[in-house]
Amino acid sequence: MNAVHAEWIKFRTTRATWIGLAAIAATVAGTGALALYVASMYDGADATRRATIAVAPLEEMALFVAQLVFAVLGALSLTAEYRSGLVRTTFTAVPRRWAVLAAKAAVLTAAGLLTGVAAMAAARGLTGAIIGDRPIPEYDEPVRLADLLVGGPSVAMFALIGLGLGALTRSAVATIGTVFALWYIVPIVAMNLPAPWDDRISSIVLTRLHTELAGVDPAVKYGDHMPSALLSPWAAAAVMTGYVLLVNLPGYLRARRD
Amino acid sequence: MIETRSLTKRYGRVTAVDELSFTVAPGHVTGFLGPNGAGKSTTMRMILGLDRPDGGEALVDGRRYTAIRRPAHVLGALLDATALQPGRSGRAHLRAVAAANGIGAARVAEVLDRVGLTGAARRPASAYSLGMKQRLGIAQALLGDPGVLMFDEPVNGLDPEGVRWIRGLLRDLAAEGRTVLVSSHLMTEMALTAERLLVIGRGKLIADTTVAALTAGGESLEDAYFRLTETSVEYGGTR
Ligand SMILES: Nc1ncnc2c1ncn2[C@@H]1O[C@H](COP(=O)(O)OP(=O)(O)O)[C@@H](O)[C@H]1O
Ligand SMILES: [Mg+2]
Repeated sequence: MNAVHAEWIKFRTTRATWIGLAAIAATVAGTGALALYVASMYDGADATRRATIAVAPLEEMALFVAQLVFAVLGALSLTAEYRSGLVRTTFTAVPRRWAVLAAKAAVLTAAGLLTGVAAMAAARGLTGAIIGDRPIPEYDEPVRLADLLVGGPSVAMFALIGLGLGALTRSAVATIGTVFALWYIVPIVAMNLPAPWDDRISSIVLTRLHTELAGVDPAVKYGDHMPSALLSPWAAAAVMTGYVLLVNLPGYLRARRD
Repeated sequence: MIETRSLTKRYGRVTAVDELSFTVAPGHVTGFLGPNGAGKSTTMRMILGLDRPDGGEALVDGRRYTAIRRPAHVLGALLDATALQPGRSGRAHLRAVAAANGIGAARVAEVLDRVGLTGAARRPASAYSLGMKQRLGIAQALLGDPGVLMFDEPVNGLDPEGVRWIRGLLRDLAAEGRTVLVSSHLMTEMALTAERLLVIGRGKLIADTTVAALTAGGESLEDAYFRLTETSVEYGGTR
């Protein structure tokens, strides 16, 4: 627990933490601005046009940014210490390296869970309030709690993947480059694969697992242009856990040796 | 008490520390002296479990450092004072290190006061001079009120006033009955601070002596040091 306390102090006294949280807050505000735009467009449109107005769930944008922010925070958690040399102080204070990694993981998980849920709930609450009772798809039915809650595990997963890759590469640039590719490029490539690989691979890309965790098929929810979800919530949870272990086990093994 | 037994570390073809055995006892400052590259820092890293020895072992109060549960209470170390996260304040840095060993904010305030950093405690570390960073590092080593202290080149880059301050502090800590090991590549510096001397060259122990014994023959310390380290260079040359 001492190690967790230490990592918590470091987490909240790192500049990057607050810059990242500010970026997430700004994105939430941005979803509000988009909702205002949609609402005014709806109000100015005639009945036939109104029937065609649809919005992608805006809270997903907040989640998307939170995922990247926490992947970066997870990456920096260790790589910034290797860079400054602080890691020696850390391992001197806590000689058991698994305890250091576990403490960092615990803090990132807790912060990621909270931020993921908070970002989703704030964006959904804000945009929902702005759209009001306009019968726009997605906003014309009550929000499912599960859809918001899955933001937590998703963001935590990104943070832990950043941590594990950081332990493995000890380089912020390499780690952030890799998570950026996993977060942005891989999902686009996956969507454009020939059938049935588009659905298969899209079902296991990092940015999509939370919808499956919530038991939602994006092809049903957002339309046919989105790949179908093939994983059940349990399978999605297993895949998420698997990814985290896949990068953190070799990361730990590397951190153990010098 | 610090003890090494046949401690050895190789980096590729370089043997940084070569079958090094010594004991550092409490009650006086022990100088760890040797030219740059002699293996002082590597030895200290192995004592702290930061580098894994290729042979031998290092013990602190009879235990391996990595087996100690809250090591800050047993050994305090300053290896590299500049190893700080730039945006974090000195106080936050110390609080994090302290928390890792179950030490609270009150003790952090105490050690900050002892090294004279209370006024600058809330400033980001990036705004600290090298001297202030050294003081912060010493405060960090003192957090757990440990019986053993280890400082790697603590006077490097300090102004004369800072050097004097560190000398006094080291002697005070030893006089309190602590084990104090201080490395330096400067004999003149060690002569003013240490009572015992461990001289190493090319990773090997050259002399385990006292400042008094070295100068007993009328030779100047500087000459004695060069005589000792020259020998080590010759050893190295025959490899
Ligand atoms: N991480 C490392 N990788 C490779 N060589 C190293 C490493 N650390 C130290 N060395 C080498 O080991 C020797 C001892 O270095 P060091 O312990 O830093 O000496 P000192 O502290 O006495 O100046 C030097 O030859 C140095 O180049
Ligand atoms: Mg050195």
